[in-house]
Amino acid sequence: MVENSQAQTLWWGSFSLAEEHAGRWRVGPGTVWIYRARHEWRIVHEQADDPLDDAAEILLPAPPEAAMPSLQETPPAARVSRFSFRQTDEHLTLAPALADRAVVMRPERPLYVPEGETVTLYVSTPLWMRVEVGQPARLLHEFPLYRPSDTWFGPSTQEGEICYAVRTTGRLKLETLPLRLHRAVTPLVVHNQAKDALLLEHVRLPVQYLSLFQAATDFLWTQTVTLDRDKDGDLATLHLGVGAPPEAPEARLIGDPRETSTANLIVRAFSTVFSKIRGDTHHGRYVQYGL
Amino acid sequence: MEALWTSVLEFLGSEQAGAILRAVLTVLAGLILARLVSTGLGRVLAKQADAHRAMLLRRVSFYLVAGLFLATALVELGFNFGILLGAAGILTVAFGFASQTSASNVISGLFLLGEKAFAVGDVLRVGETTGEVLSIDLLSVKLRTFDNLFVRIPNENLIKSPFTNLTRFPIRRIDVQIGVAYKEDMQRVLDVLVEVAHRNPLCLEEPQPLFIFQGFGDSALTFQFSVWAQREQFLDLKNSIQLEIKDAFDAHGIEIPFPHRTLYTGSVTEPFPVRVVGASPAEPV
Repeated sequence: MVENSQAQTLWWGSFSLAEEHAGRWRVGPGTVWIYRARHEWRIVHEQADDPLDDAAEILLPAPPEAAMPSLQETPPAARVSRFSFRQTDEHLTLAPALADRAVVMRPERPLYVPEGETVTLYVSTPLWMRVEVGQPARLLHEFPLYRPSDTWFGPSTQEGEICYAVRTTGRLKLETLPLRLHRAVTPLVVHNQAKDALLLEHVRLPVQYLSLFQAATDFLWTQTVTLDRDKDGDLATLHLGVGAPPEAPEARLIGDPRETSTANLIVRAFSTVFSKIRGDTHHGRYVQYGL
Repeated sequence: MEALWTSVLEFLGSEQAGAILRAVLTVLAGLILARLVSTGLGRVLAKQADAHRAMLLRRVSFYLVAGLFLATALVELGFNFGILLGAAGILTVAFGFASQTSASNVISGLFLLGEKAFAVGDVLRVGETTGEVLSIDLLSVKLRTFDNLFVRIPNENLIKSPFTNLTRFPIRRIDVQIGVAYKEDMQRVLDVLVEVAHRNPLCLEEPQPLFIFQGFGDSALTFQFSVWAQREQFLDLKNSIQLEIKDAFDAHGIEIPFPHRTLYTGSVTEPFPVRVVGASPAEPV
């Protein structure tokens, strides 16, 4: 049925779903109904308004009233995906995954990292849900539990890439970062070896290269990411830790990276151009006062 | 019969026949060589240059080589090139005057290709026409407008006057012009707008939404609220953000006023007579 460990309701794992039955998973801001028919799998996903919503509940099998959205009355904002099969079987596997694009995070307040100094920030990024069926498990569908906002990261409006913007801010102290089952935590170490101080306002975290680890407390972590900045500018050398981070030493690997990075990959990690033309920053949320 | 045969044999043995044979062989060799050169060049350039340039160079090289061999063949046959060139000279002048615009279009086309201001697949706005570029040809550029019409734009037009390439850069800004009633608190309006922008996942967090106060209008405080979107989602965001702004204003009780006019009767303002129309017979108030 459902795995329970230390009072956390783990939403990922192997499940068994009988024909003509549905299951409902409430994971943070996302609610997912999965319905199995003889020749069809149906996935209905609805997201709440608040991305930091902390629901955690599994109803498997879901009683008819709870399963309604997957059968008939789908809420208008929900997304429905249907997959047709010759014959479905009962094996259902849900797995967490990291975002499919790089993620841009902001520290609580913009902070300077002087020459030769190092800062460690803890960032939580949103998770995707992978729905796999059959044995051996085959990926059916993958979607974010809460679709993060897009953002542009680059030296100008002419070049750069689209990333996701993380709503929660990067924290200097791990204790101040709320741990949630629908997000994964990355320890990010920024090492400024250049001659000038680095203003940390936006940092791009390439989560496509990260693996997922499940700690003893069941919360999800990635390996430590180190950004080594040796020259002034936006570029840094990316170093990925091997294995679980020191903050969660007994964590076990449960998800592989989407892409493999080459060793010593130079990435654009800090965005400074936009901050030059920006007028003002007020309590974390600001607009540009224009010309 | 025999006389005919003899004269044919005589002809074949003479100088002229030899020359004609040589000329024909030269032309044939020229055509084959021209074809080889053009295909070879085409293959080499296919990887470096785009399809149009490669095609252009293939054609030019083919005609050049074939033309050279044809000229040699003509010389073999005894044509006097001096006279031919003279005649060609006069014809060229005549042609030149007649085909001014076409020539201008061809040259403009070559310059356009060289500039790489746009490519096939980009969306261009030329004057009032907006469309997707289907092909860049010798004399003109072909566009398909979004209501599925075919537009031919001469290359000359594109060189002479400005045009806008809407898909050159990956992100675009959407400007929303808004007016709010004078009684509204601008900071509160700004907060509501920023919240709307943050909630919309298509609206990019960076570059940040831009707020420009435009003035104290006749009926409202006018300002511009600009948000950025990926160019593929420009239309989606343009629609959704304006609807969301309207909804947010309604939810927060922020008024977008109708045009106001104040009536003033002069230095001494008397109350206007007003008649109330209702169920009972009207009485002047």
